[in-house]
Amino acid sequence: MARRAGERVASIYPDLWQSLAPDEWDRRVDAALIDAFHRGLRCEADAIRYLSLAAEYGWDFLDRADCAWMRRILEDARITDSSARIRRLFEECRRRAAVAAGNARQREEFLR
Amino acid sequence: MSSDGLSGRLGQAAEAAAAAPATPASEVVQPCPLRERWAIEVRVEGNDKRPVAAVAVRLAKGAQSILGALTGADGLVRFDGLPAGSYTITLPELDAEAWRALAVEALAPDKAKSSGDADWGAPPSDGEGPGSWTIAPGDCLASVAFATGFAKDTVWNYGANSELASRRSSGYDLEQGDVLHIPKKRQKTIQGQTGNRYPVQLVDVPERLKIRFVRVNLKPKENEPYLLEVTAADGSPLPARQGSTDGAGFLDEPIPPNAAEARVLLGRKPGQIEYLFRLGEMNPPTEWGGVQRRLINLGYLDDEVTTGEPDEPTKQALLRLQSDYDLQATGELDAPTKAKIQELFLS
Repeated sequence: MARRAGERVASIYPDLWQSLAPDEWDRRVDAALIDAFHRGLRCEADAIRYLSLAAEYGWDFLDRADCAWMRRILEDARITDSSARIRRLFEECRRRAAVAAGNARQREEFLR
Repeated sequence: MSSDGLSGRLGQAAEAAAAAPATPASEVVQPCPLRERWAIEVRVEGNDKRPVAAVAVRLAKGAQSILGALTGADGLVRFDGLPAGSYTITLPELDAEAWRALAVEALAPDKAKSSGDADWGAPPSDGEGPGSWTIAPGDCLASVAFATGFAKDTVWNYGANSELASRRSSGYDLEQGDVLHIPKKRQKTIQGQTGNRYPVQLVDVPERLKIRFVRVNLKPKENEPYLLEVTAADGSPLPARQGSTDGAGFLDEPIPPNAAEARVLLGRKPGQIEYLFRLGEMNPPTEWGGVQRRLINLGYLDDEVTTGEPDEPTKQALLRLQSDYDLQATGELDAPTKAKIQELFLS
């Protein structure tokens, strides 16, 4: 399951995957998935979500101050299902990215 | 990093996750066809009927087992894997007066049923709440009430706040250091049946942002196109909105109560101007800092020179305003001058 999730995410982030030394990708995927496991994320779908966020925002994203909002969602005790927490974080990242992209387009049009 | 690229990559990851197994390999079991499972949905909306995200919703089975979730961007929470029956729904972070239940809706047959078993947990201790809130820059009654789970009126009319309410014209005129007392929260519940959706409405969401744009001669900038970008207190961007000021120069748009910053791009090229508003940071007009911010916004005072004290630039600004409106030229913040500033500034 870990291998499949790692390969799937590598195919979405080919530049990142190619930029890493041999075995480095696997080492980072293993470390991230151990962390994900401790957060209650056990299925392949959640592993792909977690690895994608690590690839996108940086492997240390949960330790960084600029990503504190992500950690808050992933550790939000109001959501009792750990799988629901990663789904919520993933969807919030998608929402923010889509809003930022849409706003940039609107601003460009408005300034034209 | 381009937000378009980010959006696209996360979209690909979402498709990959949707296609991957969502059950741990060790737990893959064939569901018993005789054991039906159902769902309950809760939809949270504002009083403008738009969905409200990130509201905590709890489903309880007896006193010891709960499911907890937050509403998504569509305002929905769905609890799956429930045996048919009745469950208690609460919005645990909200006071009873902060929301109302709307008419229940039956889910479509394909949405009413679900599979798997809900993963029940023990109820957390919800704590006592803050008791009081000391106003910091960016706070106002609306943001504090929203953050603490109350309707604005519940907080403002709370007996312990009567002395503060007598000193301030409204809950939007609070000064840094003011203390709002927060009442004890009262819980409200709905008895929900599987197969239904329970819409609820938050009474004070959204807030409204009203800004009046005027020219140097204080004539309104009427029918000017604008682009409004709002950021919430947690840094979350909201979709930009476009519109035009009305005949009196007003921009009037709904915003979440925890909005922290509004950027307005106003007008057509080549005269477009960008304004940045830090919401809730205006001191009351009874304080020198509040008077000076109003004089700045009205174009009488330079942003660079404010001191929060009755200084010479402020005196000169008051003299200019008094001259423009045929008030006695004192350079002082006397009652007629104060009233004129509040009239022009609308607060």
